[in-house]
Amino acid sequence: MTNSILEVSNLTGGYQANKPVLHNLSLNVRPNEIVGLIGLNGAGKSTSIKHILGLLDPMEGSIRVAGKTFSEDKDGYRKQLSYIPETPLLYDELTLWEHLQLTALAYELGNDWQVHAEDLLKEFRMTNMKKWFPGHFSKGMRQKVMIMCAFLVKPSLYIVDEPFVGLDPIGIQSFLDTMLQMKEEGAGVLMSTHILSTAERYCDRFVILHDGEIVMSGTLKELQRQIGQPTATLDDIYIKATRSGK
Amino acid sequence: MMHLDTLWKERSGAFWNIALRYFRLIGNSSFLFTVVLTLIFGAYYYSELLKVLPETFPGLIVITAITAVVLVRTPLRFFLYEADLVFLLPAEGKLNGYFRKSLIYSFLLQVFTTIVVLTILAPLYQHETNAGTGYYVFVIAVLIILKGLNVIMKWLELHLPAHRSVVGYIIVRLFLTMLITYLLLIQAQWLYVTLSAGLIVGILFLLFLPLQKKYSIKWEKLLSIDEHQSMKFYRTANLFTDVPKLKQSVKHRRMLSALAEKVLPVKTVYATLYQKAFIRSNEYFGIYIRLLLVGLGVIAFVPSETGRIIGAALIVYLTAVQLRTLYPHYQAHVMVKLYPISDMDQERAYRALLIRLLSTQAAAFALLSIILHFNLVEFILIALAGTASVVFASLRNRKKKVKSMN
Repeated sequence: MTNSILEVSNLTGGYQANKPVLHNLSLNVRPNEIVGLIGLNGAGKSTSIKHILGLLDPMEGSIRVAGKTFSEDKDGYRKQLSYIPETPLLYDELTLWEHLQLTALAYELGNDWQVHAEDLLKEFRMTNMKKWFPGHFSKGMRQKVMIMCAFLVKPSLYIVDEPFVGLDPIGIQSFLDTMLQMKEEGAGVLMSTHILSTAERYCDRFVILHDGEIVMSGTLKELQRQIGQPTATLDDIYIKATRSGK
Repeated sequence: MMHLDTLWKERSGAFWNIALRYFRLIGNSSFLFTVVLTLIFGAYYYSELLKVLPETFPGLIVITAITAVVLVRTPLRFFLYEADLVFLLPAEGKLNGYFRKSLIYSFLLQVFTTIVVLTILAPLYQHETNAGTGYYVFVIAVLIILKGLNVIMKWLELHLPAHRSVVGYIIVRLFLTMLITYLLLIQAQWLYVTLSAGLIVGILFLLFLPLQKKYSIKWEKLLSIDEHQSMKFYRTANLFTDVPKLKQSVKHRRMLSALAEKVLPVKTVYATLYQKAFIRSNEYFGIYIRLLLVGLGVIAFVPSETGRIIGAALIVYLTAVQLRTLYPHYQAHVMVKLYPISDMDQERAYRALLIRLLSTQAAAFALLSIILHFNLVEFILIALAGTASVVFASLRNRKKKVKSMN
């Protein structure tokens, strides 16, 4: 387990000290692995992500990225990961290209970032919109900006929150292809989503979250075994886990 | 329960509730005092100006032009919300009363501005002609009716779809309004006035009214007009107090942005963000340039040397105060918090930008003063006063920061 890129152990957390949302959460993401974080609305997925990003401090337990906690080495911690939020968070005053530029600046990327950025623009079919302000883009296009910025960094850990909503089919495929490529190159991915059929095909392992607790986790095979239905789809497992696991 | 009949009242009431609160804040600031002072000065210079006005001055044409602008420029207010595109759209057919109320409301507000402007123009008119006050009041009354016609015409224009140009309609409206106003002002024969009035009513029926039958209400256009209107209000209020509702409006400013990148390259995240925000967002750049111009005006026209020095220092300081809202511009942004950058970056970048901008201003003031007044001592004093302001402003910002962090 020591080779995990993300290691969450016994995390209790939330927004108010007397009302923790997450209870004793433990999960990990290893290099070359995509882990699906699955749960109903309000299960605690976004809160978990906020903790992992370092936006919330753990009440108990610890979160380590590449072996270090946030408080041990803020910059080192942040450098390891990039984040694709559910709602695109863009700068009103920057053009698409300037978003990529700023990302390169923030993560101190080497000089070849421009080549990489052009490739991403081509892959996501956004080359023509380089000089536009994403403020007026559609949800899908704004999401592509976030995705490209995250992939530009090539960190060792990706935190991805519901990336598919609003993306067109080609955009979804480009995203999945690029994510697989990053995985091949050694990155770990924690992806939260409700699109279970896609998750089933692309994630190596799953963590099912319910009411702030992990009710099930493992590979699809392991989950099927746990509920005793060897042919169950992720949807079946998910529904079963959240209904009985309350 | 919500009723369509009372909806307009609720909406306008909600707006005025907020507006009144802002008005109170504005009233409490020194703004009112400044307005009264400006009015007194303005009135004095206006009467002085009338005395020395040459015979050849085309007074009536000036009055016609100003009046035409006031009458033709017809900003309408509908109190629509973005969600109405979903929720009210199905009820479009039942909203006639709603829109009628909006038009009457807009009309009454503009009757007020029309009367104010025409009252200000009254002395000029008396100076130009020998018509009595009674006649001028009559002119105002007719022009108010003309304003009403313009409101209706503008409303009908708004039905035009995007692919049909509105320019022709505006030109027709402008021409007719100017014609009638001018005929009234020169006390033309009744026949002409009646004829042109008939013309405008005819055109309303033949050219404008069919638009409503032919085209539907353009909701998105109305929404953007509404937003523009309320942002104008909030922006004004924002000069006196913080307005959270203020939405960002971004301008590309390609040239300026490229120039800034060339001349002042930025190396850190916050330096980039602040530079772009200053150039492109809100009114930062506009405020800066306006204050710069005011300052240059002070240097050029204030007769006393002490006045110029204090004025220059004050403008530099005022600019710093206005730019203070730039500092928390990205406070609520999550992405910027995730970057692996030093916490000091923001503070440093903001101070560097502030010092750069304010120093440029101070230097410009000092330079203009030596060009115009050839006084080396004054040049040095203005430069010193400006520098003092810069230092004071940047120190004050730091102090405030520390306070808010504790």
